[in-house]
Amino acid sequence: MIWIGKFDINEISLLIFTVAAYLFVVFSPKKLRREITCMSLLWGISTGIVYDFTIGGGLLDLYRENDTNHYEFFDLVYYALYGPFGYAFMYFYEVMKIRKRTFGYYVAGWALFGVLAQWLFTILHIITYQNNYSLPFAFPIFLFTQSVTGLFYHYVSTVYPNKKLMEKEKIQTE
Amino acid sequence: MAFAVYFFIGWISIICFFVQKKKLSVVENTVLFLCVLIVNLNWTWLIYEELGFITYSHDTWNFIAYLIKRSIVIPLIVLISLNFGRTDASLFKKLTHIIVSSLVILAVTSISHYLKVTTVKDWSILYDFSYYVALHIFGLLIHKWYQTYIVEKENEVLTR
Repeated sequence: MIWIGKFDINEISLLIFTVAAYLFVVFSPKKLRREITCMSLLWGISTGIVYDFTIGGGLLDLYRENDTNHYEFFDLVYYALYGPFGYAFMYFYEVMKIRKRTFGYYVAGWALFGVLAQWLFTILHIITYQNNYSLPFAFPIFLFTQSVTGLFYHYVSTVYPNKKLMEKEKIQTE
Repeated sequence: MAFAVYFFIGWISIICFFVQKKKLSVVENTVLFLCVLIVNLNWTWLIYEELGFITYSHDTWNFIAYLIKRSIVIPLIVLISLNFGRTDASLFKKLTHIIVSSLVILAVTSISHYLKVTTVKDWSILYDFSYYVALHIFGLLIHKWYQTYIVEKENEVLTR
């Protein structure tokens, strides 16, 4: 476990990306309820952490974050960066009014965007591949993850708003 | 053997959660599950990988069993416990739920030591028990925070 390691391009770019991403979360027009915003941020963060502690560490150890294979402060900044990705997925799902017919295109688009982001992260030395892992492997992982996220959000958005609308009507009648 | 046992425990946990009468909404349950998962993943990483107090098996199937326990079984048992009982249950009842649930997770942990999925180097089962109790209390605090700062604020917006 180390504190920061060498403060260079990966740390600086992580800080810039993370601040910019959270500015988007704060200042984007409100399309999601607070509960969903909270859930989407946590969904993004935990997805990143689950992958990093499962295939990015342990027996597989397919990639390294920042300067070492050990825990460091900027790993936390990196995990925090996943949060706005989760938010953006659900935000644009609403903005673009995604339905069954457009679901596949939306998920595939996000998977491609994820691969592009990974490629950028490797160039900036935020991620370093090891143990025969390479960028093309990221595509099926993103495709699977975004599909699960999309299906889960579709389920939540069909189950949850009805209850909220009922509550709103109840509050208004009172 | 360990993989089959943990796959079954994971399956039982999912079924129990699925059939349970829940007092929390789907979004509340998701938020709590994710918070407990994040804490548990970081805790196990620190204890197993960084500090080496406990080690996991390098056999592939045993490692998958360890992943099931870490990422599915423990967060789900905490979630089942948080959904258990009435909302207005007394502090004593809540504490009883937490202790029983922590003992169940402790039993699951003991099975992993017995089946050599994990090996204790410099650790006590009492530390594990304290951590599991703390994990439940963390879940309760997150729920309180969520109700106060997320749900009530949203209701204020709705009533405007």
